[in-house]
Amino acid sequence: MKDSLLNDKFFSRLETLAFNLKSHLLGYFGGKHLVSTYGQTVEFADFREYQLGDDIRRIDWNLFSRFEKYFIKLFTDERQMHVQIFVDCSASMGKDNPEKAAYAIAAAAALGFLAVHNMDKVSFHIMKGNTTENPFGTIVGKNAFFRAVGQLEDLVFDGESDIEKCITSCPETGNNNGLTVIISDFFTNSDWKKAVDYLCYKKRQVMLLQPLTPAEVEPTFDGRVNLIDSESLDLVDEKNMKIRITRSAQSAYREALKDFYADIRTFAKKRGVDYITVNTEDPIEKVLFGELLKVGMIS
Amino acid sequence: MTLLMPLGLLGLISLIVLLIIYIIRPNYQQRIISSTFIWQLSLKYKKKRVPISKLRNLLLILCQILVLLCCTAVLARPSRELLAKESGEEAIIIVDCSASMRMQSDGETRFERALKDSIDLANFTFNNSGKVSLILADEDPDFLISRITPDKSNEFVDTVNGLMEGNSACTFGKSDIDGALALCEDIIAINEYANVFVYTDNKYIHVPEKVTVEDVSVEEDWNVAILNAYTSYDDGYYNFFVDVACYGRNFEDLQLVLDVYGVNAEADETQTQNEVLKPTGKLDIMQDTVYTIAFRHNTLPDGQTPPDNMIIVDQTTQIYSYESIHVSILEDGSAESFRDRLIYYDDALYEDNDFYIYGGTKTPLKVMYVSTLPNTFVNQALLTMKKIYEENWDITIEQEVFIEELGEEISGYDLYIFEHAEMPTVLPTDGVVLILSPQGSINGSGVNIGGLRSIDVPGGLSPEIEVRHPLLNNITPEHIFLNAYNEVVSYDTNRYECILSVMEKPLILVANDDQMKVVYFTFSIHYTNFPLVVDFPLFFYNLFEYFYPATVEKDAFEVNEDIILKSLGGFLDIKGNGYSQKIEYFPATIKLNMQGSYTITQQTFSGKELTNSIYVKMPSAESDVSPDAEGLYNPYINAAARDYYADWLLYIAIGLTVFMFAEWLLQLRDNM
Repeated sequence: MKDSLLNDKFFSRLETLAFNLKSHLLGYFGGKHLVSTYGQTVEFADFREYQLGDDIRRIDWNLFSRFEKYFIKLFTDERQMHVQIFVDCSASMGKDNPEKAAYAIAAAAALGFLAVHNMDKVSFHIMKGNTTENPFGTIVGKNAFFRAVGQLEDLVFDGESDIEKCITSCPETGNNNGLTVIISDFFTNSDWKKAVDYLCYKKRQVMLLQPLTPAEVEPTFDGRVNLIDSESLDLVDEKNMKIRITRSAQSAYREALKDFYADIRTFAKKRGVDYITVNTEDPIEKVLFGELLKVGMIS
Repeated sequence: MTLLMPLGLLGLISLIVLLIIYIIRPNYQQRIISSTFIWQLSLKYKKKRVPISKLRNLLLILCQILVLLCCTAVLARPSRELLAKESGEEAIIIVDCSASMRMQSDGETRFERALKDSIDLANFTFNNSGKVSLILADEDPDFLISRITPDKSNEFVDTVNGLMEGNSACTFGKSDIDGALALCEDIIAINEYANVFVYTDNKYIHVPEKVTVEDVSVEEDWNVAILNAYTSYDDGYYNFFVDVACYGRNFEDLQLVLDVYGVNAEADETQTQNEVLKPTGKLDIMQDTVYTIAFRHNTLPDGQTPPDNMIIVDQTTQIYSYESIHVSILEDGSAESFRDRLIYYDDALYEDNDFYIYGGTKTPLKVMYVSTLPNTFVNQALLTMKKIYEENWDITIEQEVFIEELGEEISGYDLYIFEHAEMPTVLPTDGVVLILSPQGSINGSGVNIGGLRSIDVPGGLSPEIEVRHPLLNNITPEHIFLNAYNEVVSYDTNRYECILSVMEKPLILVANDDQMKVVYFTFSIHYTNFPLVVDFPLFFYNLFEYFYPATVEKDAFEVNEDIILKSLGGFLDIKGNGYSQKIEYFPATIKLNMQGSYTITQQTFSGKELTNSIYVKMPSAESDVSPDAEGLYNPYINAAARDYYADWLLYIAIGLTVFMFAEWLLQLRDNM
């Protein structure tokens, strides 16, 4: 996987891209993201009438000579954002689907690279059980990023994860300071929508990335099947189900999946959240240069 | 029902196998997937499975069981018994009923001898508790007695004795021994031990095994016979030919006499003259050789030699017509008068010692041709017909220029031809009327003729055939071109049939009913090339063939030969040798099974009475005292190949197909 995805060639192609985050974010001082507030850059933005407390050095005397009123020059502001990437490390994301896990890691790495490349901060949050881990801390700069990526590939996907609890209990979600990416298949009974609402409340830009395998998109097996959920504890776990897969059952699956997509999409649209679902059969480049560009996340 | 292969029932074991498969087959196959989350969601989208699914499963198993039962049935081959085999002594007796079995010696015919022998054989078989069947082998063999048991032996004897009375069962025709042997197959199929006995006088080169041929002929038998007699019309006079043969011995000083009645008689002559024709010298004929005695009024053409075995007798009297000829043979020629001549002398078969020749009297046919401008084309066509039909019809042609000379009502002719303006006031009804180039309507004809119409096409137009009528046989309309025609304003469509037309206007109308026989040319032959082409004499030929057909094709037929009868009137009577029949639908085909002369009487549509005579003779081969034959049909071969059982494979195959289709359908529904 390291050779196929997370290599120099892969990252070099990403260097031409940049995150296109929303301008209302505040972020931190010193980044490259233009924001709606006025700052200290050299790029002129507007004039404003002088108010008490303003720096008198910024008064435009030329305007004063014409209008006999004090106006000050305003300049655009560029801020640094904090990109938080929450990766669902439950068994459904990769215990029996190494491709799906690799895809999730590659997507996380690619988004992380885009962040550090644009002088943003990035942190990887591993969701397991009810808690999140941030094994690499806040990463700034490519050197720290590449160190983290080397360990990112060693992630173990196992057990269950409660996205809601993981995110709401995370102490580092920040406030109005950047982008949160949740990479998960969302095949969970956890109320992950609350987590998204929580992040919206925290005024963070949110993106949902849903990698699915071809077998999940279009199951091909049929007959009498005892479906064993990879997150189940044993054979008698209630997550497992005995089913006779016929054409009508397959049709019902497709219908359910379609409604599942629609539900997430509606939810995301209402909250201004970006939602991308990808088939792991498609190359990762399609996600980066296709889907992310399509939703306007990168430019 | 019988199982031809009971071991095939072992196929029922497959039911147990099916049961085991149902027991041991894994119910659910384990499959690990990343999450069952969507599958759980899909349950609410899945259609409710109604309880019929259980019934479907039951039907599925039932179909599978039935398919296996069908396969087992195929192996076991259930069948219906068609024939039950029997064993035991059985005799099938075939008695030849051909004319040669009428040959007699010591006052007993071969047929009687065969029947007596068959009684002995039947008694022997009955004494051994066997069954007996009797087949009479004539041209259409059939069972007379079929498989009777000893308790009905009297029935056999009574039947055979009945056959012997008057030899009535012995025919004058041929016998179909092979056909009789084929009939035996039904019995041999049941009882392969049945023996076939053929009582015949034929000498077979090859006789199949289990078929016994009993020769009922006597070695000393001999027979002199007139095999055939016929005439040829040459240079206006008749030559006579008689085929004779003697079987079983040489014949010396054979006297062949032809009694010719009504020699060269005229139509109105009441006292007719008779002639006796016979060879002047002795006729010595070798046995088993057919000689042709030719009575010729003229010599053979230069350089032509008579065929082998032809004896030419110079005929001093030239005969151009005769009423009938009685051909007979005598051993010593002692009788002087043919009326007292005895022909029953000491050979085995007397029926072939005389013969009758008919057809020497030509029926007069009078033709009246009325035309103001008589043309050579019509005359030439009539002369051609006269030549063609010189053996059948004595055609006389009369020609008139002015119709007034014939009187108002013309009658007394068989064919009237009216041309140009000379049309009668009333159409004759006692003959066929041919109207050429009419220039106006004729009273009572039913055809209303208008003016002359020109055809403005360079070279003229060819007519078109409206109806495929016998008058147009072999006529090609494309040969004919017209420049003008007389327009038919109206015609009686109930009476006339339009057979040829141009520009949808009738050219030739034909009426043929009891009151009127008219062929109506609505065009003048002067405005067409019709008389110049070969189709013109062909039309006249068709006219004669259609209105004056020959009653019979020839004057002598074999017994049971197809005789096609045509009539010039509405019916005809045929009588002779106890046979009498009135025939009303023509052409009629009859068969006569008695040897002898028959008279055919008919009344033509013009009221004349015509009489024809034919002679029905025995087949020539039946005169041979010991005829050789190739071989006999073997009934045992085909009988052995008979189907004793009719299997039900077809029904099983249908069932199998239905059950397999149902099973497939249920499986399909189950997977949906």
